[in-house]
Amino acid sequence: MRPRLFPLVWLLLALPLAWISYDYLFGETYYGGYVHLTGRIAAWLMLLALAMTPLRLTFPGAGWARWLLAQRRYVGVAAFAYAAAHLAAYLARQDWSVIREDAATSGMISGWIAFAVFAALAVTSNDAAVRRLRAAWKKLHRLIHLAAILVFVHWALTAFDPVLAYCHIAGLVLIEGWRFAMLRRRTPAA
Amino acid sequence: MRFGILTAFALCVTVAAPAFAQGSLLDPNSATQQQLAAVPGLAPLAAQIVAKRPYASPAAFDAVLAAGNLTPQQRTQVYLRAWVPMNLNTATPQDIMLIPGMSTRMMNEFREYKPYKSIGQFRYEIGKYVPKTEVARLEQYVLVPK
Repeated sequence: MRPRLFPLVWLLLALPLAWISYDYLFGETYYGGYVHLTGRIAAWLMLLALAMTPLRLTFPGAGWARWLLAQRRYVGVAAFAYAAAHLAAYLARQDWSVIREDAATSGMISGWIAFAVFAALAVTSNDAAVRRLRAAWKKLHRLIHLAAILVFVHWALTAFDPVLAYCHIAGLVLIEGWRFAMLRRRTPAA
Repeated sequence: MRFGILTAFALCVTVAAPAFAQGSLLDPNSATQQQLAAVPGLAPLAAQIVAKRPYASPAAFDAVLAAGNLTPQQRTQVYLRAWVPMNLNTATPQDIMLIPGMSTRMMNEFREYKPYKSIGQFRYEIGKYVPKTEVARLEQYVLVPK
């Protein structure tokens, strides 16, 4: 489906990360700015990936919704890449004593579990994994909903001011509610 | 709401201690005995404070004031006027928590961004959370060695 657009999608997803990473390593961006930005973009991409199914169900005949759904895998992998950059900056910056101390807090435990789930999903986001895992692939990738909750728990518990995290949690609730509503409409009770 | 509380706190501190807002915190390591004695609550301890110099950290100074029977509230009032400059890269949580108006969350933010390479970095990182007036207030308690 529109294979010529694939490089453009990848470029759109990768360029911001390349730009902010370069500016962090060699330019003016401070650690806090980098960690906040990569974390937020990861969360936004995750919400976008989650919104693609209800969008497709709401506009079943629309070509753009079908095209968007076809990009979900790339958006999901990009969300993982931003999350990995977010975590890498934290690990590179902090002392191990601080990391160990942080790891015992619920805010960081939720972040670590979310990242582990993200990693499992990213590693299996390819055709070979779909063939190999068969029915288990779909079950595994449903964990994105758990990861989404954990991401926002991590954000809310570690933020200085959690209001923005609460706004995103409201967004997640809306998307999940929308998805459930569309799925119920598609499969009426017997 | 928390942002509003912080702003209100910054305004109260600014109104209550105009000398502080002008960047005139006394350094107990270099202030004269007379200057220290002029700080409310410190008059009976001024000679002792001078005798026990130098103070490596705010916690070391705090220990002397606590031994002089100043309550935590009285010590907080003292820190609106006199303070041992705190190296952001070596400060302990105990040091940071002595800053008047400090919260555990803000203390964690102070620590998260270590090591600081410049005071500009401190302004940027902490400025993400509180208004400039509050950053300026907090800045008077810290230093980044060059």
